[in-house]
Amino acid sequence: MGAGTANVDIYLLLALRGTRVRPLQTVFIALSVACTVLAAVMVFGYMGAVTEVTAARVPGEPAGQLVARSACQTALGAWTRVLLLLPALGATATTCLLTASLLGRKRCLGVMRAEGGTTRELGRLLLFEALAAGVPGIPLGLGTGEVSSKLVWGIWVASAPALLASTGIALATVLLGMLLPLLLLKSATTDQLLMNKPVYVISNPSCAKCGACGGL
Amino acid sequence: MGEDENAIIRCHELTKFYPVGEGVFALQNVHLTVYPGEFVLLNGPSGSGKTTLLNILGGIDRPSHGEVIMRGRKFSRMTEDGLALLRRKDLGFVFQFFNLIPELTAWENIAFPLKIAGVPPDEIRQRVSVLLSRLHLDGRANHYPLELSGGEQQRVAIGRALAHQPSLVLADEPTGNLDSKNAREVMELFRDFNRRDGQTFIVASHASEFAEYATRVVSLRDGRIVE
Repeated sequence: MGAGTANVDIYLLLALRGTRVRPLQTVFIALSVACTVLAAVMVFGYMGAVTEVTAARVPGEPAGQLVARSACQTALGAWTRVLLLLPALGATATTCLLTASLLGRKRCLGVMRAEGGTTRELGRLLLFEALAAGVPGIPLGLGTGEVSSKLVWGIWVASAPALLASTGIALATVLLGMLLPLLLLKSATTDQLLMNKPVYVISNPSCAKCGACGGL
Repeated sequence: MGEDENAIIRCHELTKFYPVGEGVFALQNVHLTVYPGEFVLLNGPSGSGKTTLLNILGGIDRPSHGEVIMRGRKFSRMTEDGLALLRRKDLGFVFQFFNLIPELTAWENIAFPLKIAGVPPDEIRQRVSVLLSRLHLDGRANHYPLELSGGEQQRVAIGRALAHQPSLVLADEPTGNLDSKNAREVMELFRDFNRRDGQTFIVASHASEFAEYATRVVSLRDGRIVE
């Protein structure tokens, strides 16, 4: 605290403190990221299960292989379609949470701009905040994904590429979730932030003059 | 023109129009030139345009018409980020409602402009320590804003506005949320920094009793300078 933080990046410090100040938001972002990772791990688990069943029938029985693949896909295919929706839901939830976080702190971000913070720097703050809240969801998602995969498909997802890909998908959803807040931040003027006025996705003043949507 | 070149900031034909209902002129054709070392009190009742003028002078808001020039730089030609970089170097802000960053301690709030300006950590420590002492906040450095009284919060805000040693400090009703004792203390701090460090102050206040602290009083009425 205090002089001890003189060497720490101020935006990183703000992001880390933010997780403590806004615990509920942090938990929800972590959970949405965890859901995305869980879904990705489950899909990889499903692919592994199909491969495993198919491989077991391969020796000398080409017809058996096809029957097994088909049966497996019929039984499990519906699940994967549902699972594939989860990353999209995760990105949507992350977008909503990060946007709400931005809108709830317009004045504070306006003060940072008034003190000389540039859009790029404040964008970095949003990135740090999203990662600080989202990254804890990755191990949680990997863990629950592995257990779910074992329970549902009967196999552990042991391959490193699959786990890395799941992590990558989760990070991508966090970045995707940052798009709207970043656009809002980029188009907002210091006055709009500081005075807690509505902000618009399209750069001002063109959109602000219309104002039909009321802004955010 | 010669005297204008010496000005720290000047604005001419400044007009701000809000197209709300029939439309409101917050500022009308305002001309103001401020020179280094001045302590200008912007005086006027609520709604006279003080905050609008300060926001435009600080590059926070844009005028509908007119120009602000600070040391040869025209605000109308600068982007939002360009104005932010100018404020980082040359401008300090003090707000009525303190506007401290709640996640940061008093020490960190004062250090904020120094950190974003890339000042080396040792220099940050030294400068913040001096400011805390001058603002009588030595024992409050590690407290968060919510743990500080109104007067203390405003002194932290003053420290933040002065930490990067800006040539111009803009204060919008800095005493508006304080009792009379704390209000006088804040004005005395401003005068102290103005006299000892030569920093220029433009302070907006509806209270005319603070005129004694200023080297010049500018009165606003209905968006116009009246004296």
